[in-house]
Amino acid sequence: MNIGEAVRTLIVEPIVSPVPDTDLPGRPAELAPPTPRPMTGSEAATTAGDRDA
Amino acid sequence: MTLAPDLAAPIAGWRVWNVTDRGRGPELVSPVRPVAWPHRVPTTAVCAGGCRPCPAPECRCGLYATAGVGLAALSHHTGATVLGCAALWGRVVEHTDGWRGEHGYPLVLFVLPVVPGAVELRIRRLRRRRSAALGADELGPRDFGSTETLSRELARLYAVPVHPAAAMPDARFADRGRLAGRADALRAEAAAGVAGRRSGDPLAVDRLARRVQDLLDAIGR
Ligand SMILES: [Zn+2]
Repeated sequence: MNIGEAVRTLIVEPIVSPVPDTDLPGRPAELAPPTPRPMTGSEAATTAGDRDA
Repeated sequence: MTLAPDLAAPIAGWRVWNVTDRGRGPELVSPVRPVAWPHRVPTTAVCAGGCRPCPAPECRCGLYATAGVGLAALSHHTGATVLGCAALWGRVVEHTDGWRGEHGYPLVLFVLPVVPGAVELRIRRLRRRRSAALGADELGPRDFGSTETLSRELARLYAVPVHPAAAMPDARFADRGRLAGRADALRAEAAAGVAGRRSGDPLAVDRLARRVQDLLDAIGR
């Protein structure tokens, strides 16, 4: 690709990374949707915030 | 020596890619060198001649992008599957018609239609050669079902907007007139709005979507 003559060298430090750290808004996440399963009372109290495998 | 940054937003430039699949879904690859642009991490340029830092002004290394969409459009006849704006950052050598960057990541992509007829045969030959260099098959939209399917998969994996395009911007006219204006506006928004989009600002997402639609209208979707 011919981009012409070199002019100058820049140091570019984006304040926010151009690489997304989340999925595209409105798009399904890469992980399969969680399968709903019945939860007992004690499970419901202790699984908050846990991540399945 | 520490250099003070010259810019706090990435540079955005036009470029094209081919597509491969090494078991992780469609992945963008450079049409010139067997270098893949991985999902969700920056691509970092490595100089075959050993420049450090890379890119060096006197060398030809780095990740390439052009200011006008026309120069990128010229690559379509070599079988480019995807056109888009890429963010470049880190050390960036500015040229009269584009840039060579140290780090890159796509900002917005367009999946191009298959080139018909006689050109397709030549492209197939080029593809075989590039696939051998890459060690993986270079694939076209048909290998993924359609341009729509490939667009959806690329959007999911890179987490950037991806649109099927009905046509490649005509290289002869792409750097003049209405098309050039819309391509420039999209490139500017892709760079300026990246912080807003990454933080989930719906206005920034919408601004880019409108610039995309303007360009698609101009190339005749
Ligand atoms: Zn070099």
